[in-house]
Amino acid sequence: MNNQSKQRRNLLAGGVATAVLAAVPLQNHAKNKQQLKQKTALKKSAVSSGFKAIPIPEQTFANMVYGRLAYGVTPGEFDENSWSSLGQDDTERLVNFVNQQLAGGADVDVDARVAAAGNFATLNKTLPEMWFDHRLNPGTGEDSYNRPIYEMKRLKFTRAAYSLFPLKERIADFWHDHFSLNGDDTYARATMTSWDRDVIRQHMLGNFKEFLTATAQHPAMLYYLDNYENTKSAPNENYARELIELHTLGVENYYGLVQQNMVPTITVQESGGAWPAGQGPGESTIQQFYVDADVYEAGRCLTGWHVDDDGDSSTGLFLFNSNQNDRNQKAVLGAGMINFFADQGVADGHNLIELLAYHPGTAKHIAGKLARFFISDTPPQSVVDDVAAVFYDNRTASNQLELVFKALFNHTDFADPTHWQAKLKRPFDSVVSVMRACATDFTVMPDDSNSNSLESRMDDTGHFPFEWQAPDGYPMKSSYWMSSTALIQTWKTVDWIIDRENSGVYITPVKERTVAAFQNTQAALTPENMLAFWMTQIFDHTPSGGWIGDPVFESIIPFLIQQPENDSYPPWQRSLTIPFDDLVDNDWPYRWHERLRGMVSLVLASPYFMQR
Amino acid sequence: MKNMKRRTFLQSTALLGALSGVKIARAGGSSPSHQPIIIDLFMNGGMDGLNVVPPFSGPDRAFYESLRENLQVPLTGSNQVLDIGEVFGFHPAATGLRDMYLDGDLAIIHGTGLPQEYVSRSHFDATKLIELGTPHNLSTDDGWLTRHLNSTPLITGAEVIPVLVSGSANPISLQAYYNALTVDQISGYHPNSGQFEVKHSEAISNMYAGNSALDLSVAGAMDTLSVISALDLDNYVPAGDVVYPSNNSFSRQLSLIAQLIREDLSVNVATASLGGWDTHDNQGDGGGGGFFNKVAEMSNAITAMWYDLKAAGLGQQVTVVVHSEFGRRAKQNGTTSGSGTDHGSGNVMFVIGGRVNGGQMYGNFLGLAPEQLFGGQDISPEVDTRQIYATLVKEVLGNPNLDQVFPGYTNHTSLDFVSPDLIFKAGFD
Repeated sequence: MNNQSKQRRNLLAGGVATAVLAAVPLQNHAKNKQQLKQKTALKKSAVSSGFKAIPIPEQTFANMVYGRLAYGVTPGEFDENSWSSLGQDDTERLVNFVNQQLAGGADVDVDARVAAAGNFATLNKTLPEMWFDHRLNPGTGEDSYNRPIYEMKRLKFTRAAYSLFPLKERIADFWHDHFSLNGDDTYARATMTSWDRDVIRQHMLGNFKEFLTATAQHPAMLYYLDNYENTKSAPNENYARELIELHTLGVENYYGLVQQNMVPTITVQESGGAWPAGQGPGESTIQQFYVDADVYEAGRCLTGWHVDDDGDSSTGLFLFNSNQNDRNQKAVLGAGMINFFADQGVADGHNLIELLAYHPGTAKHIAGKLARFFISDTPPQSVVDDVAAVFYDNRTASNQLELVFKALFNHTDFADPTHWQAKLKRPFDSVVSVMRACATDFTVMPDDSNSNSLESRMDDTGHFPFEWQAPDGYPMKSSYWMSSTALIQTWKTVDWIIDRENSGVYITPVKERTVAAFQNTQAALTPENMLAFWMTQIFDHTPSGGWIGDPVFESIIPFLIQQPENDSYPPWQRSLTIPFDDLVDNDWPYRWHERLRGMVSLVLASPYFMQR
Repeated sequence: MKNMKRRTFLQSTALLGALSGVKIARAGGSSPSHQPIIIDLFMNGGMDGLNVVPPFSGPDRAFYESLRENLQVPLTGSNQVLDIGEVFGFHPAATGLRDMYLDGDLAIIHGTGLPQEYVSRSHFDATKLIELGTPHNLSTDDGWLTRHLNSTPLITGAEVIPVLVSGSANPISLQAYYNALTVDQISGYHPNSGQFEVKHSEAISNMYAGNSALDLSVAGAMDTLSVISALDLDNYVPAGDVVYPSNNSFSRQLSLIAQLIREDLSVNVATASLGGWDTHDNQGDGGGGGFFNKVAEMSNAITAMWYDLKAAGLGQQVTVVVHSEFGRRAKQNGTTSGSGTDHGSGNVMFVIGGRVNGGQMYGNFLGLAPEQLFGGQDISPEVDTRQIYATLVKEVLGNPNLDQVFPGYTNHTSLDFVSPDLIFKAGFD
C-alpha cells in the first residue's frame, strides 16, 4: 500500500478541519475595551485556533460579497446601495450580481484609462504580430522584446482597480495562477498579451478541455515548461508532469512510483479516443490516481508539440512536428493497458488532454482549489464535492466553467457566515482594494514614473503580477502572506497610495472627501467624528452602536490625538474640534492633513480591511 | 512567552534609541551568545547533486560518462572536476565548497533523500515532506524547525531574534512559527508615517492584540520593524576581509544572515533559499553554461558567509546545511547538446561548521550501475534526510527531543559527522 496516497485519500475523504471563529458583534463598548486590554496583557502565550484576527463588526452580506468576489467596496459602484438594488433578498441579489458580473460588457472605465494613457501598444496585436514585432524584430520602447509582459503587468492593476466586472478580474487572477508561468520568460514576455487575452480570458468561463488545449498550444507555456523541445529522441517530461500534477489531477491524486497496474481503478462513462474499454458499452475503466509512469507516457504523447519558432518567417503559433513525435504505442491512466495506439500523431496529445480534463480527479482538484481561493483555506467538503459534481457533469458543455463558478458562488456554504473573513488578502488585492475603497485616481501604465514607483514597492511585497517563478502560481494560503516582509511592504505600498502626489495632486482624495463631508458642519470635525466618517466610508457600514469603543477605532484614536513633536503643545482631545483650516493647510504643529492620511492608512491596515 | 525578551529589549533599548535618534550600541555579550546556530539553506527546484559532486574516478565514472553524454563534468580542460582526493570531486564552479572541504569544515553527504517508500518527484510535495520532517504525512501542521524551536531546552526566552528568515516568505520548515524575523532587505523597511511613526506602529500592534496566527504574525512584523530601525545595519564590514559576491541576491541574503548573527541578537535558526535549479533544459554542456553559473552563485555566497562567520569567531557556534527537495535523474533527458535533467530522488547534502568533521564524505552512494539506480533511474536515496537533521538536532543543537522534532522517526543512529569534542577539531576560531 502506498502510504502517501492512502493518507491523501483520508484527507480527501473528509478530515478537513474548519477553523471556526464566529463574527462577534459589538454588543457592549465597555466590555470590548476591557477585552482589548486583556488581550494586550496576555500577549500571545499561545496561538488560538485559526489565523483570524478580530473580524469586522456586524459585517454585511454586501461587504462579504464585494470582499471575496471583487476587490472590495467601491463607493458609488459596489456598495450597500448598489447591492440593495440587485433584488429582494441577499440570495437573489447574489444570483443577480454573479450573473451580471459573468455576463460582462463594455468595461468603459478601464477602456477610457487605457485610451487616455495612449501607450498600451500591444493590446490589439494578434499572436503572430506580437511574435513578429517583439520576438523576431524587437526594437526599443513600444517595440521592445518585453513590451507585452510590461503592459500586462501594468494593465493588471488598472483593470483590477477600475473594472466594472471585478469578479472577472478575480477569476482571471485565479486562472493565471492555476496555469502560472513566469511572465519574464523568453517566449512569454513577447506574447503575454496573447496569453492573457487568447488563452486565459477567452476560456476562463468556457470549457475546461478547450482551455487546457489552448494553454498546451500557446508558445508561452510550450517554452516555459519545455515541451517545445520534448521530442522522441530527447523526451522532456517537465510539462507533462505539471500538466498532470498542477493543471489537472493535482498532486492529491498522485500515487507515487508504483506500477500502473497496482493503482485502484474506477469506471467512467466515456468511450472513444484514448479511453480504455470498460466492462459495459460506453464505459471505460481507468486508474483512479496517477503514477510516475503516467507522467512519462503522457510526455511521450506530447512529443512534437512545438512552436513555429524557426527563422524569420516563423509565427509563434503552435506547430506539430511529426518528425519529433514518438509514434509508438503508449499507456496513460489505463492500469497498464495500452490505450494510445501507434501512429496517431497529434491526436495523442488531444486524447491525453481529454483523459485528464474529463477525469473525476481533475474535477475534485479544481473544485478544491476554487473553494480555497474564494472561500477559505479550509473549506467545507460539501462545497468542494458539489462544485466538483457540477464541473464533472458539465465536462463537455461549452459554458462548463461559468456553471462551475455560479455553483460555487451561490452555494449555501459560500453564504455561511462561519467562513466569512476566513482569508487574508494577498498584497496585490490589498493594494487594489485600497484604490477602490478610497477612490484613488491613478492609471497604472507603461512609461510612467508613478507606476514605476508603485512597481518597485509591489516587488518588495513578493506579489508583483506574473513574476512567480515556479509553475504552481502565487500561494493562495493565507499563512504564506503573513510574513513580516509581506505585511510591512504591503502596508508601505498602501501608505504610498495614500501619500502619493501626481503633479501636485494627491492620487487619493482623502483630504477632499473629508473637507466635502465636514464643509457645512465644521464644528463637528473632531478626531472621533473624522475617524468614524472614514471607517464608515471604507467599510460602507456603521455598526449598530457606532464606532466608538470598537477595538480598531480605539487603537487608532491615540495616533490621531498624539502630542506634536514640539512638546510645548499638548496632545489633542478625541472630541475636540479640529480647526478646519489646519486640516486644509496641514498647519504646524499638529499637521492635521498628515494625521488624517496616517489615520486612513491605519484603517486600511486593520484586520477589518485585510481579511476577506 | 518565549519572545518576551524581545519586547523588553525593544521597549528598553531599541525604541528609545530610535526615538532619540541614537542608534543603540551592540548588545555585545549580554545575551545568550553561545547558543548553537543552524543556518538551513534550501536549493529550490531540485539541485542536480550528481553534477555538483560528480564521480571523479572508480567504476561510477564510466557509468556517469555514459549517462551524461553531454552534461558530464569532464576530467580535463578548463571545466574539469575539482580533485579532492576522493572518488568524487566538485563541480569546477564550486571552488569555495572545495576549499571548505579541504579546510575540514565541510562534509559531503551523498545518497540522501526521502525514505524510498515516500519518494515524490513533485517539487511541491517533496519540499513539504522534507521540510515538514514527516515524510509519511503531507498535512502536518508545523515544520520541523518549528518543532525543534518549541522543544529545545536551549531556548531560554532571552533571545531577541531566535529565528531569522532572509527572504520574503517563511520556509515550510518554519510552518506555524509566527515569531520569525522575515526580511529580504533592510533599506526602506519602515512605514511612511514620518514624525508619527512610533504611534502609527503602536496603533497597528493594538489592532492585532489577539492570539490568532495573524495577530502573532503582525506582532512579529512590528518587532522586525523596530529591530531594523534600532540597529545600524547600513555599512556592514564582514570579518576576515571577506568580500561577498556583489551581483546576486542570494549573496545579499547570506550577508544579512551573517550580519544579524554578528549583532548578537541570539539568532538560533536562520534560513534562506536559492531558486533556479529546475534544469530541465540547457543545463550546461561539459560542466559549463547556466548550471556553472548557478553552482558558482551558491558556492561563492555560502563560502563568503562561512569565512565571515568563522573569522568573526563564530565558527564553533554555526552549522550550515545545504539541501534541496530532490536530485535529478541520473541520465540526461536528451541526446544532444542543450539537454537537461528531469526530476529524480536521491541527492547530495552539505553540512558546514566548526563542529563538523569535514573533509570527509558520508552517507551511502549506492552507485550508478543500472541495477544500483533507484527505480532504474535515480541516485538511490539511502540516507533519510531526517537522519542528518536529527544528528544535528541532538549533537549540535543540544535538543534531545527527537520524538517531538521528528514524530514517527524511530531508531535514530548518529551519522557521525559531528566532532564530539571541540578539542579534537582543529579550529579554535
